[in-house]
Amino acid sequence: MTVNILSALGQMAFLMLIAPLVNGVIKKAKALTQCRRGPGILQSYFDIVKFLRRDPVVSVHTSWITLLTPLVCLGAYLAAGSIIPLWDHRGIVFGDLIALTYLFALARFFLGLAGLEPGSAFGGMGSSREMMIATLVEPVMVLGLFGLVLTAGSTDLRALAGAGWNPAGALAFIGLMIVTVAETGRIPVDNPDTHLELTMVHEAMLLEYAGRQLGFLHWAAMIKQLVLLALLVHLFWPHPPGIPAAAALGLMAAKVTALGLGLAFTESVLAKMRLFRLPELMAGGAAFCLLAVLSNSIM
Amino acid sequence: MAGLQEKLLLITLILYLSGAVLPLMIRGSPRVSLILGCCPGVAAGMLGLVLGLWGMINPVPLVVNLGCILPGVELGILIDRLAGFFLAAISMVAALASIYSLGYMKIYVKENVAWWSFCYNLFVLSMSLVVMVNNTVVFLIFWELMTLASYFLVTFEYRHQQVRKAGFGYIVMTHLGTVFIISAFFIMSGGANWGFADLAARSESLSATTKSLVFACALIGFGTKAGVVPLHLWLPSAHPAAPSNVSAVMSGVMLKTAIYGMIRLIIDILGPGPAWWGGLVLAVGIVSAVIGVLYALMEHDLKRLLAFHSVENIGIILMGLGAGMIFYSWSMPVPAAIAVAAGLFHVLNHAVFKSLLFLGAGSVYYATHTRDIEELGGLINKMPQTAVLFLVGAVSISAIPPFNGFASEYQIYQSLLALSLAKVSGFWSVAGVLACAALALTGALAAACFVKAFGVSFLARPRSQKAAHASEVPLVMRVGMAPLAVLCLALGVLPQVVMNSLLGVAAQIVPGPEIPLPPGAFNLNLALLLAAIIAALAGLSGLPGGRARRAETWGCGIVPDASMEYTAASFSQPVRRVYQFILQPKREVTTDYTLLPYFNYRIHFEERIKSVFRDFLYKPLREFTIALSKKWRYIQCGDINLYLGYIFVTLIILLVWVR
Repeated sequence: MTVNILSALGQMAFLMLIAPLVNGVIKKAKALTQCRRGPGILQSYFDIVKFLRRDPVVSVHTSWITLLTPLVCLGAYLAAGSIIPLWDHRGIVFGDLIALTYLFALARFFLGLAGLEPGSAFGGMGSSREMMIATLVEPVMVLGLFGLVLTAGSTDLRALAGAGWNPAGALAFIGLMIVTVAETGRIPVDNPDTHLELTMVHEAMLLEYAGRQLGFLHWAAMIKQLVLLALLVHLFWPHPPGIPAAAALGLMAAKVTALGLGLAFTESVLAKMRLFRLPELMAGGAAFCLLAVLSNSIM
Repeated sequence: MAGLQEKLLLITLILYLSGAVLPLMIRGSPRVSLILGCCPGVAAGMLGLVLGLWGMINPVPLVVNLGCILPGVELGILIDRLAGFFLAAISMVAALASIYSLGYMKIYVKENVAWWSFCYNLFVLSMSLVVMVNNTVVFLIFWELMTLASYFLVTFEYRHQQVRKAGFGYIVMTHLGTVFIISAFFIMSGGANWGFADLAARSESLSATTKSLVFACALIGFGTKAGVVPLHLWLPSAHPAAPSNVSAVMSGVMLKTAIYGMIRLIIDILGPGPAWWGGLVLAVGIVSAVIGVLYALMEHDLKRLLAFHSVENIGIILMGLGAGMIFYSWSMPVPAAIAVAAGLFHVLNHAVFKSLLFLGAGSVYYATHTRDIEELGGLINKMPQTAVLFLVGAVSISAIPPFNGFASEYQIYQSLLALSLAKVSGFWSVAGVLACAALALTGALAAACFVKAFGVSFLARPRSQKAAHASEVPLVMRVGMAPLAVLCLALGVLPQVVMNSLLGVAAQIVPGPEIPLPPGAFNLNLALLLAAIIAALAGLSGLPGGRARRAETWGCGIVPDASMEYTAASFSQPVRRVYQFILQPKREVTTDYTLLPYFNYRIHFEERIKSVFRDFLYKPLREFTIALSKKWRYIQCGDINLYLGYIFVTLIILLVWVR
């Protein structure tokens, strides 16, 4: 038990440390594909440190919900991260695939409330859109992830390692990649770089945040991105069993970065979609996931 | 031991009766009536809880005969594990609602509070007896009493036409349902013996077709009371019409008596049926869950919104039960028992968080005298404790860890996945995963709905004077709500304890070998982890907001006011548009302008959603009935001689027939 808790804590520390780097690499790659120089890959660290050193400013109309939300988000994503075995664990103490899916819902719920709280139309718009997108994304995510349970036979993430490493898995991978794009707020669903009022979703909810609270939220978003990528790697492209923890972590970091480069590339070549075209995109994702489920249950 | 249980039972019944009768006998002030009605109700509820828990744990059921209540009808009591579970849930919610009523009913001092006390206690008494009796005739008597008492509670504010209409719809629909329940019992018993045990013994000899007929009647009959789609039409109008404390009991536990009826009649008495029974229940559950939550999202009346969520949660419960029935028909008792226990777990959780939310909505109404969330806002500053309690309920119903809604939906997910993993056929493998996706959709929509409900009514700035002048509700109301909020967390972090005893209940209905405890033990760890991370971060960053500077919200150069806030209608607009194939929204925008359309001075916006079921299912049915009645009307000419003739002819026909 103690060993398990310690390894979960270690995993959380790893995620907190590495998430800004992965984000920096994605940003750099995106800049390069767009023929820009872009910021250095360490820029995300500097940003977080800068935000964390500043005292927050919050709207006069807010309550403790606004102040609690960044902590809840960070906590939920870290807990989700502790569930994915990054190296060979003896046991998972904090949850399984279902808990992981619903921890994202926990963060989203509070973020949605925090968007409404300052009473600005932007925040409300962001919350409203985010919750609508979630109603499209969550069923597809569950369809894709639980389809893999059919092969693994359990919702325990240790059993699910490499569950997608089969022909049907390729279909599920495409579906879940679309989910990841939506969940990380990237083009064509949302744009992480924009502050143009009418197109924001995630950024609109953060609009009234400043200082330390904003730093926490940015950090949380990076960790969420890393957790999703790590989940994909774990399900579809796991490291060989029995390798030492350090090697496993190194491999994980490399594979996550490779997937991140894919995200950067798609983001550069695609245009942002109209909000109400999203159901079509997610229906496409659902179709891939459903095909994966079908071929899994026939085989 | 049984003697003590019997005494407890008698005291409980007498307390409920005294709570009903005393306020009518002693005509004091409304205050006196309230105390005379509620205090025995609280005591009886607590005793009922003890009795229920005792029955739930005790492997030997309590069987008592309380004597004749009507010629030839004996009040036989049977508290087995299933009855004990439902009795405990009903009693607990009723007791807390009684405490809450001590404060809440003060807004009704001008009404007849003694009459309310009479109906309320009789209502709770009949609900408790419905789950305790062992005979279909007595069951139906108390089922009717429950409906009638709740009808008078729904129409408590009978001066409003809306309330009378809602009450009428309620009583008509539930009586249609009762017809089906009576038919189910009648087909089962064959008119001979009416005890549950007799029915169970007779079910062995019934043909498969008869059994399916009984199943269909029971599903329609109990489904009407439970409010499954498309029989839910009475529910969203009746619940808001009743006072909030009554809505809490009606939605929290009265609907569950229908679930009890389904489990008792379909699973316990009929036993395993063909797989399509379970499949149908599962499908009805999915449709109810998704449709219910979609309509809830479109509502801006806090109590109507909650009422639609009852439809949703009944659907989720039926998903668990349906999975259990499928396993039962496959002769797989272990997963069947787990799935039934998962459904029962959600019964308990829904009773807890839904009554909490209805009581919270009542508190909002008490403080602001409105249920329209578009008029609310900023209540978290005016009523901080109510806000926390309501938030706990909102998080729980949205199935968010580590609260109880998640704990039971987790178990239902596991059961649905087990349906896929059983590898009985490709169809069920796909169906299980698709049901999971439907449950995920329901969860996401529920979360959207409660971000709207809580965010618009409690956060940001007040949108009306009513909300601006609200103040915290009396202590006794918060005391009634607090235990429910604590339970939301406790049931969420300790699901294993609850599931363990619920598996005992399920094993009684679905007999089989020893059942291993299903997974889900991580909830406590997860809750502790979340608390630890949040506490650590709060410590690191200084106490949250300790040094936060306050400034006005950014409004692009102007100071925003409450009219610029996002409203409930605007919040739900994207969902309305994306799911328009179900909701069928109709939008009307009229602009008044001078000279050119660019210079408008007033815009009128109206958006309505079409009630698909009312328009396409009930309206044709109603028109058909009316047309048929018109055809028959010519025999009703109002001439007394003709009526005497009818009686005479009937008498002769009867005499000839009986001879």
